[in-house]
Amino acid sequence: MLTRRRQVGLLGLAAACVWLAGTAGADVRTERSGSILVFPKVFSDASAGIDTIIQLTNTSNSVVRAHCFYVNAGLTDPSAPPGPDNPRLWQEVDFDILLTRQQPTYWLVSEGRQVNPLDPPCKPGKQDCFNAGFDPGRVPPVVPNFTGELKCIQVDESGAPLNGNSLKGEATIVRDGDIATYSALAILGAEGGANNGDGTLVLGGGQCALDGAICKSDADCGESGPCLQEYNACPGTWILTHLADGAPNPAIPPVGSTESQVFTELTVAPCTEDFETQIPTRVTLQFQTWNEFESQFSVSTTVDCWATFRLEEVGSLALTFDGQDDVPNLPLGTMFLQTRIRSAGGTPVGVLLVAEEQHTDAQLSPNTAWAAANLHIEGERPTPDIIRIPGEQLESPF
Amino acid sequence: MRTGKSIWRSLALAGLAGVWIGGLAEADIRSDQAASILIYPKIVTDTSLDTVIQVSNSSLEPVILHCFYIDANSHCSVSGGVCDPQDEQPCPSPGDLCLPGWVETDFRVVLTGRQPLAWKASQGLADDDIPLDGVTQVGPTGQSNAGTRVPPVAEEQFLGELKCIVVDENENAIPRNVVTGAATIVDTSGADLDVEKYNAIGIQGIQGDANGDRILELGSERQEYNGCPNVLIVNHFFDFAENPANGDPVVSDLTLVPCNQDLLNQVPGAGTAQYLVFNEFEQRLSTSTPIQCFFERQLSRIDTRNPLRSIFSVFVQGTLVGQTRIRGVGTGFLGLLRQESGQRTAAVNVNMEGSRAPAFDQIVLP
Repeated sequence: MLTRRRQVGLLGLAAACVWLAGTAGADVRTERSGSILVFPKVFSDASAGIDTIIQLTNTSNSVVRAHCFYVNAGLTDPSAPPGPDNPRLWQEVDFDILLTRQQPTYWLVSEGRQVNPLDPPCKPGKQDCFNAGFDPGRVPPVVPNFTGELKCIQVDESGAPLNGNSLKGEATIVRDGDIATYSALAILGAEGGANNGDGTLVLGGGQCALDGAICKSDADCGESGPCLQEYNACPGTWILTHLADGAPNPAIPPVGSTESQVFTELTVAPCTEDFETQIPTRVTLQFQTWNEFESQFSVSTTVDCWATFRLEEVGSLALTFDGQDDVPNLPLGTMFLQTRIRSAGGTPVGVLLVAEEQHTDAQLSPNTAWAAANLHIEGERPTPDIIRIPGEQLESPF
Repeated sequence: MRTGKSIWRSLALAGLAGVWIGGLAEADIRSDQAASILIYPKIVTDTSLDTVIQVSNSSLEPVILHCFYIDANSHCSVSGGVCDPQDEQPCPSPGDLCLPGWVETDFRVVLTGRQPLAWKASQGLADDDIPLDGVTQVGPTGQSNAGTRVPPVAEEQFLGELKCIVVDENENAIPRNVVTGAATIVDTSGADLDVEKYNAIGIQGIQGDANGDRILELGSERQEYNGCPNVLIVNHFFDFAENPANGDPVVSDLTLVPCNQDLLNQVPGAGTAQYLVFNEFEQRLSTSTPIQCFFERQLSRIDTRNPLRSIFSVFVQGTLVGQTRIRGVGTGFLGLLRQESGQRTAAVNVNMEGSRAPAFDQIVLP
C-alpha cells in the first residue's frame, strides 16, 4: 500500500492538474476520437439479409484496450409491437479488445471475430481474407435477429476506465446489397480530467475525490473535493434536418403521377445505463419542429431502454408530408423540416441519436436505398449521466 | 476489483495526463455542430445524378449566407468538353488536352429563424421556390428569405465544392455559429437507386473578419476562425476487399478540398497531402500527392495508375481494413470518404485531429 503521505501527495497533484486543465464539456463527437464509443444502431437479421460491419481504430501510438458491451434491445416477443406487455430485453454481453498502435480492425456482428493468428492474409486472387491481421480479441457473435447498441469503453491494462480519447469507429449497415454508414458517437474523456477508474462512469461531471459522490463541479463536493471530472456531457439538444416523412426526394424523378418517398428512422440509446442492475432507462423525448415557412410545432414520446422508429410513428401529423396541411395553426406545409430533439425537463437522462433515411423511388417495382446520417448537436445536459459497470467486469483480462 | 494502490496511482497518472492533454491545441472544425462557415466538399450533378443541399439555421434570428459554388471540372483544350485528367473520362483526340479548371459562382441565401432550406444543385432555388419571399409570404415574426436566389450549378455535369459563409447585411463575415448543413447525393442511373448523405463541415467563427480585410484567417493568432485540422483520419476497407457481409467488392473514393482559397483572385488552394496507411498488422506504408483546388480519386489510384499494385489495395496490404492519416503540407485539407460496395455507396465524414498552428489558412473573399 502507498503511505498516507504519498497518497495525499498524489491526490494533491491530481487535483492541481484538474484545476489547471479544465472541466467537462459538451463534446460527444462524430469526427474525433473518444474514450467511449457508442454505436447506437446495430442490426443483424439473416432472414432479411441485414448485418452490420463494425470498424474500430486506435488513433494513438500506444496500445489501447477497450471493454465493449452489446446491449440486446430486441423485443421479448419479436412478433408483437413494443409496449408495457412486450418490453425490450435489455440484455448485455461484454467482451474485451486490444488494439496495437494505430491498428484498425473490423468484425461482422453476426459472426464476431475469433482469435486465429493463422488467418491467411489477402493476396492477388484472394480478397476474401476475412479476419486477417492482428485479432483484437475474442469478439462474440450477436444473437440471431439482434437489434440494439454497441458501446466500447477505453480501459487501461488493469481494466480500469481511462480518459485516453484513442478510439474511433464506424458502423456500416448492410441490407442485401445496400450499405449505409454512420460514425460512432465518441464521448471524450474530460479535458484534463482525472478518471478514478472505478465502475461508475460520469458523463458531464465526475466523482468527489474523497467520498466518490457524483458531482458536477468542485462546489458539489465541499470538503470531499475536488470533483474529479471523468467524461464530457451528453448533448443537450440534437438537431435533425430532414424531409417530412413520406415526402418525395426532389432528386428522384416521378413516374407519371407517382412520386418517390423518403422516411427517416431515428434510433435512440440512453446516455445513462446501469449494467449492474440491468434496469433499463426510461426517457421522454421532446421534438420541436420548424418547417420552411418558419411554422413551429412540437410533440413528445417516451422511450424505454432503446428504440428505433420512423418519425411518422412519433404521432404528429406535422412530421409527415401527407399531414402537413392538416395540422391546426400550420398555414403551409413543406417538404423540409428542422427538428430539435431533447430529453424532457423532468427526465434526468440524456440520449444518443443516429438517423437513417429510407429512399424509395417511383418505379413499378420500387427500389429502396438507405443513407445514414449523424445528427448535429448543441449544448450539454445540465445534469450528469452515469454508466455503471459491474466491478468484476473491470478485472483485467489483458 | 481494483486495489487502493492502483486507484491512487491511476489518479496521479490521469492527473498528469490531464496536464499533457490540456496543453494540446484542438482542431475545432466540426461536422456535427453549427458553425459560421459551411463546406460541402463534394457537389456532383450529371444526367441522372444530383445533389440535394440542405442548410438550416439553428438560431431564432435570421442569418445571411454568402455562398460559393466552386466548379472543379477539367475541360478539354480543343473540344471544350468535361474531362478527367486521370483518364477515366479522356478528351476525344490525342491533341485535345485535359486542362484543370477552377471557377467560382457566388450567391446569397437568407434563412429566417430556425428555418430549413434545401435545393437541388442542378436546379437551384428560383423565385417561385423560395418559401418566404417577403412579398406574398413572410414568417410569423416578419422575417423572410428576401434576397435569396440560388443559381443552378454552372454545368450539367458538375463536380466541385460549395462553401457558405455567414455574413452581416454589409457582407462582412461574422462569427455566428448557427448554420448546419448536409448534402444527399442521389444516383438514379443504375438498376438500383443509390443514395448517400454527409454532413457539411463547419468552421466555427471566433471573432470573424473583425478587421474587415475580407481575408478570413483559419487558425491564426488573429482569432478569426478555428483552424483546419492537422490530420484527417479515415477508416476504410482496402480497395478490392470483399464486403464481409455479402461478398461484394469494395472500393472507396477520397475527396479533399484545400482550406486555403483565394476567391478574389481565383487562385485555387494548393498543397501536398501526405498519407500514412496502417493495416491490421500495424504495418505502415506511406505516399503523397500534390493537390490543387479539388481532389477526388479512388484510393487505389492515389499512388499509382495500376490500382492492383497500390498501397490502398487489399492485395498489397494483406488485410481487409485500414486506417489512413492524411496531413496537409502548405495548406490544410478537409475531406470526405465515399465507400462503394458492389453498385451501392455510402458517404462518411472523416475524423479530424489536432491543429495546424502555428500555420494557418486563408479564405480570401471577393
